[in-house]
Amino acid sequence: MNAWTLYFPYAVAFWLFVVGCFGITQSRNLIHTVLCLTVVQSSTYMLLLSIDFHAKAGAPLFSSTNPPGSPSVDPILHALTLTDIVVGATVTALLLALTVQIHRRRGTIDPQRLRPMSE
Amino acid sequence: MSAATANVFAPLCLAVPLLAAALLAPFTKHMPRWLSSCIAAGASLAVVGMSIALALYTSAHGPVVHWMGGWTPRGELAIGISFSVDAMGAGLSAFIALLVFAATVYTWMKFDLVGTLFHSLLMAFLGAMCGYALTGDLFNMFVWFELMSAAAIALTAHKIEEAEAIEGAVNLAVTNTIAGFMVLLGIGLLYGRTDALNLAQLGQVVAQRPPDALILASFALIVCGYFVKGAVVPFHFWLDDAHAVAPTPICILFSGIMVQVALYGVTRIYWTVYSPALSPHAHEIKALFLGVGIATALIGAIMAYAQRHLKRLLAFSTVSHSGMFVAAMGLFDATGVAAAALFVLAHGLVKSGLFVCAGNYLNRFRSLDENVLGGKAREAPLNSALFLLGGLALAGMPPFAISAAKVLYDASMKDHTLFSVAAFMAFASALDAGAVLRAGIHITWGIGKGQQTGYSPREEEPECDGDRLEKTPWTMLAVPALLLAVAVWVGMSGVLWHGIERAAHAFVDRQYYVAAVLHGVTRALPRAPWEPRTAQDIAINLSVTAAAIVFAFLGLFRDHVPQMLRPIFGPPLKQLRGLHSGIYTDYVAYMMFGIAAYSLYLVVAAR
Amino acid sequence: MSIRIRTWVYVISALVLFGTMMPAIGGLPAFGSFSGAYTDMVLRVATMERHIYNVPTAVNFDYRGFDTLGEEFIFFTSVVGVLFLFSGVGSKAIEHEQPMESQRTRGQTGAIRWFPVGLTAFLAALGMDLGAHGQLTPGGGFQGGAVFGSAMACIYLAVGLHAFVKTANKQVFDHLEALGAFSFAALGAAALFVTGAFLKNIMPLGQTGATVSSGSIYFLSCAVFVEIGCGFTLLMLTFLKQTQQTAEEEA
Repeated sequence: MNAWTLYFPYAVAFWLFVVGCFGITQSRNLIHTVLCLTVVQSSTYMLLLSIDFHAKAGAPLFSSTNPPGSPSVDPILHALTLTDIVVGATVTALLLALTVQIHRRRGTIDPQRLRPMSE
Repeated sequence: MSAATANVFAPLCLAVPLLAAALLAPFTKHMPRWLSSCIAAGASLAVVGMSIALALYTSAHGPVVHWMGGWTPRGELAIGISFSVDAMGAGLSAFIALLVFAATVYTWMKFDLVGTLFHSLLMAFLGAMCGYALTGDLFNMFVWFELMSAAAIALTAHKIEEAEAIEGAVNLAVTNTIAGFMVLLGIGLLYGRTDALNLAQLGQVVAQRPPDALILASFALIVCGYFVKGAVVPFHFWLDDAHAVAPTPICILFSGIMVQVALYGVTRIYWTVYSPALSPHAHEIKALFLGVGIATALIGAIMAYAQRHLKRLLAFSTVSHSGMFVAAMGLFDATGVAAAALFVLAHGLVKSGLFVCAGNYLNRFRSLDENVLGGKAREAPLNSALFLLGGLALAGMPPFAISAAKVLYDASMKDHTLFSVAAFMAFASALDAGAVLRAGIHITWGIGKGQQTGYSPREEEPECDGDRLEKTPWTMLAVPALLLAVAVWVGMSGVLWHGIERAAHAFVDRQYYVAAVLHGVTRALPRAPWEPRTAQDIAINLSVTAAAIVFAFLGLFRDHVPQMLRPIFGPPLKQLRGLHSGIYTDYVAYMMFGIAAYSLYLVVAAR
Repeated sequence: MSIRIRTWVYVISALVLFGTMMPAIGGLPAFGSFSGAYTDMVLRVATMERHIYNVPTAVNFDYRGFDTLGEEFIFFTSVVGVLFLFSGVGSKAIEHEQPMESQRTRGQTGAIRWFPVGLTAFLAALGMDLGAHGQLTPGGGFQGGAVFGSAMACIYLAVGLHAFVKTANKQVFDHLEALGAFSFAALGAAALFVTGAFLKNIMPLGQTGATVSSGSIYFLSCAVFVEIGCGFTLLMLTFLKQTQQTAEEEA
């Protein structure tokens, strides 16, 4: 296994971040922007969960067959990722509500045509 | 006050507003308006009281560390989340709650609330900011940052009948969300190296090795993410859009404290986590912060001068002051931190007063445009007097507090023989105070010519119940008067200055923090040298005020300015204004440029 | 700024950023080899100290329960924000006596009508199970609440907007959601006054593997389930009512 494949998942995380933001800069539709933000968010999942992975360890869920003390991956990163998911869901909800209201007031959701505060 | 009481107060500063928010939300239709205002005001006053008590306690006895869930550290390993309250954090929390209380009082009688969900969101916003100021855990800071953003998005779009309000909220939402993800990427990188999230413990682990690309990259990501909220160039574009459309009490909170809280977060993270590792490269990092601070201060001041919409003018003035805070922080010593803290306090009070006066103009005359208002404000003498007084206070006229801050500030500049930086700061403050004074003079007496350029909506709805106010209600006048009065007290109170100096000395002392958090060893604040005001400092402040008045009159009578100056200033100003396009797609491109520039500088310069 | 300049600014900056992040990534532990003191400590002591099998739930509601309080209030604030954004004068959903569209125009076939009817009860039960037994199996309040929300979506698919609005009484869900958020914070404050530590686990821990075990974790998880489930329902209600509104405006 090449050395670079050991770091590839982290690179994918940053690639997702960059590509998601690129989508936002090219966006002609607010809903498209919201979905690009989802891509940016998934870059953070990718980074956190890639750090977490351990080849020989199982999930941090114990039971009678998997007693406490058996090798497990990091539960703290799982908790961080869960918080991240909730944050993403909430921002999506708020942005979509704003999109509906803009469409109602202006009839368009194209940011280039909105031009709210140009001087 | 006993240690047990302080221990109880620390989490209550956060829990009380959040409980109030959960209580207020479902009962919107059942509660009379005065009751929800009372609950909100009561919750914010409670937080003010508890925070002041905590600030006094921590000055005398050392930081109060409350481990959530009772998970005290084992060995040097922190396994829970802590509220590490030191004097600076408690003081900031008190100021946050004070401004929220002022916003609640402002909305008491006549403000059009669109139901009482406003107060619920306001309480959630208060809780988030206090949590951010008091916490000692890196990921916990991110959580409160996101709560702040969620509440801010909803509160900005308060005037939901106006399309511009919603567009401003969209700009805020997109930029601040990406900022949050940047911070999270930085936290992930740091966690991957250290397996720690507590600030004190992170500092201990990071100090063990010299900094490499990972530490610098995580620093760049976290700093840039919080700088978006802190409205630092080139991440500041969302702030003026949000301010132009947000209701007045929300403008108070954004300009008065939200921006500053984010900058506090950057300073806290630097001093507790990165300072030992990055101290070999302190010179380069100092250059970065000072350079960015100067750029922000100048761009903010110039753009403020080119505005005719009062709220947008004040918003750019906030951007400019944000640059000054960054430069003061960028001195990376105790006097710089003390100067920044005092400056934040003074600026918050004065800027809030100015925004309330602008809101009063909106309610009386249905406009915030300098040209439309020209001369009309003779009918509102008290309000105009407060507005002009606020403008002079922004310039630093003694006895206002910004002059006290400038005293410290210039003193610290002289220590480091950075006269050029001080000169830029003085120019920027004169310019943006001059913009406020120009607007105030034109509005009150109608002399000179108003600003022709800049964004201004075709029509604006007043923010109060009913169509238009004939006379400004006394609550809406009392708020700026009280805020300016407190600013005078802050400027004159030697006790407060000295307390802030001592708190700043403890803030930059990492060993003091780590001992309290990880080992439970606390001691009182260290002694700090007493810096009395000299005649020279007062002279500097008076000259900056005079320069502001000159700039104001230059703006009013600019038709008499020689023609040859126009081609020099015209095109660059037009380019700068063109950058502030109001579309978030451009803002995201600038953000990427900013983070790339910061990371490149850090990685190259700290090699 | 013209789109070409913006694109070039972005592409060059993104390449620079990517380039500076690569050495940073090189400093991370190689994929599959992360370990650390914090992780080991939590894995070692969680089951013993809290009588719990699902360690991420323990971290979520106990060790780092304070983060979960913040997360819960972020969700609460955004639901309140969405309700706030749709609460203006022109946006009050008008309760119609008859539904806006007939079932045929809505494109509803027999499969779309009957399949969700069967699924609703199952999903609601599954959501409650996940939410209540988070300390034993993978799950917890958040996951259970999200599944419960999709049960509500099935009701909409099966019977249409009008019946959905009647079933999911907005008042009740509003109060329940706030109750969920309030009880999380109140439980933490109660722990503060009883033991001096906010959010400390003060309930009896029970036996590891029992249905009700691990003390406060169980109750906090249930509170979060109530809040998230009701919150998602409220969001769906609010957004779906807007479709009714728009259809009226177009009519």
